[in-house]
Amino acid sequence: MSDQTGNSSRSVTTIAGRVVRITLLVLSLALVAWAFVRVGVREVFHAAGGDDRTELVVMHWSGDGGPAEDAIVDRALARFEEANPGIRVTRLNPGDAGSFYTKLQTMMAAGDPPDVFYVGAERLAAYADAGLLLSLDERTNSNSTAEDFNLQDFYPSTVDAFRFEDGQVGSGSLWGIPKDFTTVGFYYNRDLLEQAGVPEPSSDWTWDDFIASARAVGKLPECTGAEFVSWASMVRAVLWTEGTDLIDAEGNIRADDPRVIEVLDRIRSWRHDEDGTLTSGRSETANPASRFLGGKLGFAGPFGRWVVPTYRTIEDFQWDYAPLPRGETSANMIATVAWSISSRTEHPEEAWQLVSWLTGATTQAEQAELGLAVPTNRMVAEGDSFIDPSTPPSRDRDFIEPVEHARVVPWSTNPALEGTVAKRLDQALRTGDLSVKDALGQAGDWWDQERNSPLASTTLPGMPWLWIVGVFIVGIVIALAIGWWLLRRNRPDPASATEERSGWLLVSPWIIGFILFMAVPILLSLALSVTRWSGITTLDEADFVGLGNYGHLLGHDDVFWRSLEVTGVYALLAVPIGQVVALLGAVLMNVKIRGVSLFRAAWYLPSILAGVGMAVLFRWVFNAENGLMNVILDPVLSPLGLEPPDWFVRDAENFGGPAFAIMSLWLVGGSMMIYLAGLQNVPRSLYEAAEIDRAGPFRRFFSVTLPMISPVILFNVIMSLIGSFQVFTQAFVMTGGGPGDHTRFYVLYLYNQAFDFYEMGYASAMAWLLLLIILGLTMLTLRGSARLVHYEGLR
Amino acid sequence: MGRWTGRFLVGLALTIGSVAMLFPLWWMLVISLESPQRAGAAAEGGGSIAVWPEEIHWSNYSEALKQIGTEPWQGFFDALANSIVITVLVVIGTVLSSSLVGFAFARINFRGRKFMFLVMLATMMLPAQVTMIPLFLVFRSLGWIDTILPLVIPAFFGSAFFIFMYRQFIAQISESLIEAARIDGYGMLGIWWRIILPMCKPVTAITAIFTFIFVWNDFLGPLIYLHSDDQSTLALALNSFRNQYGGLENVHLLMAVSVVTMIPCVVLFFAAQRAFVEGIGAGAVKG
Repeated sequence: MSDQTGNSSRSVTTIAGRVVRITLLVLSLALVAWAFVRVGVREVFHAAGGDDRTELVVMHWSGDGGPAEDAIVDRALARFEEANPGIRVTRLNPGDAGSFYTKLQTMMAAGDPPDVFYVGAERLAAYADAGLLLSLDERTNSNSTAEDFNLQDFYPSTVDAFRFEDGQVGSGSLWGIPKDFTTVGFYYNRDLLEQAGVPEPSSDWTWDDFIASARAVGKLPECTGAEFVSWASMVRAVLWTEGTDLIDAEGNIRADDPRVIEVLDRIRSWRHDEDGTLTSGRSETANPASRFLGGKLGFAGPFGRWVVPTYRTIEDFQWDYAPLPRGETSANMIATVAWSISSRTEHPEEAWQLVSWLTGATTQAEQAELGLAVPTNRMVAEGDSFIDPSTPPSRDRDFIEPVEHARVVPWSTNPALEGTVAKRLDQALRTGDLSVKDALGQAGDWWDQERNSPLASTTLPGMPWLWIVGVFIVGIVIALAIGWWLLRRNRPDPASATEERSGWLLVSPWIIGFILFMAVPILLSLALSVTRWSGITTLDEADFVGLGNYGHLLGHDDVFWRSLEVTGVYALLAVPIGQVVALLGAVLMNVKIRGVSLFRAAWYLPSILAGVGMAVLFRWVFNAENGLMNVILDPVLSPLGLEPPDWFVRDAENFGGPAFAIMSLWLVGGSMMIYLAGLQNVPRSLYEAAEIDRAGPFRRFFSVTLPMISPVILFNVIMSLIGSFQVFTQAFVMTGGGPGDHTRFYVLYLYNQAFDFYEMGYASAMAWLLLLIILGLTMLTLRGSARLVHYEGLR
Repeated sequence: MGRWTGRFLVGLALTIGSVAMLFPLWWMLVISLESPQRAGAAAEGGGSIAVWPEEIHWSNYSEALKQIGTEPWQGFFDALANSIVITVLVVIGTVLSSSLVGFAFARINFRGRKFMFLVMLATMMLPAQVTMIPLFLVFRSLGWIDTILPLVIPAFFGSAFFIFMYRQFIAQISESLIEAARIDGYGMLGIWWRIILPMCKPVTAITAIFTFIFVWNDFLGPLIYLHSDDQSTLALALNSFRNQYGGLENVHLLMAVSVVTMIPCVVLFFAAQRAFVEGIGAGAVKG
């Protein structure tokens, strides 16, 4: 009876299962067919050309401007298309400035850059130097120039920011037309200043006025005098007002200059020796500009115009803006962005037409209403669309007037300089970990080391490609000759000759693939690793640096060592813990209990979903104090008087890498399945024998199971060790390597070098070091385990 | 300790482990279905854990998918179609080429076979990063950047791991079958197509499944080779969606897109569970 019901219910489930299966199959086939048709139609349409208008690709960002800036550019382009029916404009907006530059450089490396794009003044030297931009010298007067464009109307210092010649910014050829700019200064809370009884700053105020007012506001209950950011460019602008600079004309850091130290020590002392004058450097808020919104801060700066759209949402108090205070002299800095044209554009005439349109008076006036920056066209800047006393800040002119004594902050073409100076200044002026003298000394030493690095030489010999290709060809000829001779030596009989031919034929896909996708790339990679070469140019421009890349990596690159440390710590945590969990799971699942296949599925499922989606999810799991992980950890830790860490922000230095190791526990399913298969291969008779000897379950595990599956353990350990040195997607998606370099995994840094900085030679050297590290670790593991692994388990 | 307590403890440990494994995925599903305010609160925790959506908002999914890329819906459809096309082509390429080469290594006698087989095994140790940059340069010089070709074409030249699996399996097939086919006048290609491939179904299933999962989840490859919105894969599209909608106020949309990118692998997993479980063990332990 029961047997029968069992049978019939089983047949019902089989039929249901079959129906589900067939439906799924039909659905997925339909989906695949749809996908191929969609992609096929698109590619055929592309190949056919589709449109006979000239196509210009335009790329920009919309960081602080948000959707409003996006809309303004879109509108300007639509008007342009209307006025020029022969041109079609495709607009790309990757989001913020960071994503913009990543995408721009990837497109440049691929040899397919947009025709027209934004370039910030700080990147101009590097791009112009690499020959990526079209010179605009002869274009500014050409016939295709937009009617409302006249370079004479522009503030000269903004235009000069995009002149570059012979390694010097500021004069020479013109490479971009500035679309807007800003000078910097302090935003102030009018209500608090009034309460403290200090006058509003004049346009010609001094640092003494500034600090007196900040001290007065700091005396008010719960208030702080000022937020004073110590960003590297801002600090240099402050030094300019005292008639000095952090970096001298030869590009050296003035680490011993008493005047520099005096000025910086003054800022440091305002923050660390006085109470309430400057904000504490210890408290962490993502964005210093947003502290002003709380209404408890007298001054905030030095900031440019970019915070205005955000500050206009303030309703609780009155605020306004004053330019950078005066010291011995008046000075200010300019931040500006230009529209530039790619040197590779096929339509330079049309591209210039568009650039002059986008920087012409009409478009600038539209942009000005956004309030995000100052128009570079003098007429527009001083007209009604920008000067508008009815909306704060009422002192719009204080953004314009300092332009007379303002200039762009010149940084070296080596992007690492600004980053390192910024880090050290942060330690000296904000957190106070280092004295000013030590911080400058460290930055100076680092910079000397960087400039003495084998890569810093400006006169490197070209890469002897002819030689390399020659040696390569000779090598191949010799190898072929040896192979042919070996084959000739013992000629097979005719029957096996046909078999031999078909053998080679059938293996040929792999041989061709091996040569094309393995052997040649590996040799090319080795050759590249002794060059310095930006991937944006062609290979014959590569410079030969010998072992310079390796020398620089090992002796001059802190980020490299940090990335090794992050990856090593991750491996040390993730491999042992992961393998123990996987083995434990497998041992438990090897017990005959009901529903074991469900458990198996549950443990295995997350590991096959390891992609961007999983990374997105775990970014939120490890979110701040309130993510899923910390909500669970809190009740466990709080009785011990501990707090769960802020994994990827405040505590990233110690907990960033370990967070990735914890995440890797969700991905142990693959290893676990391999253990399970290994466990099922252990002969039953061994356990029976052990049972006769009265061995308990633990004894059985350690004396029978463990030795028998030791080869499987070795296999899994090696595989997961290799895997842990190749972590990329999680780090790229979850943290991008930050904050600082606390989660910059090795392969992520390699990717950054190759595809963000275009140091293809340097990245190739990193790849070769990775290969050596992995080989070394595998050897060590094999050696170290030789006595522990018991090979009887593997027949 | 009795037999039953032992089993109970094992069951308990496995249950706790399973809950821990699956809960983040469930939490993601819950957030993707919550209203924007509740999703934000759930993601921020606030001392409690969202176990069940208060109200189910299926519209989150259409709202989220619509916003992928620059044109409504088209971005999602393009990404989905691209992911499917790339994955299917790579699976077909890997199965055909790996089985062919595996067959040759297992069954055909030719001089140099052993040497080449060793070289092939050695290539498995090579981290992909070593060839990443030169391959990028090669494909760039071919003008293949921003097309699916760099992601698809190499699959047609065999994958060392799967060649190895096919070889191990084919080596166990009885010689008499192949001999009989040879007497019937089949050439080596005929034997491979008519005899070997049909007999290799278990290995083919494993190869197809693992290749599918790997390619579907791959991020670094598409990140390097594809730039345009209309060439993007789902993994790339999800990453750009995260760039634009990464904030707390959009967490329900972000989770919804993440769930969608995971669905194909989950369906495949449940449809082919047996092949999965048997395959992974068979592949590795014999090695």
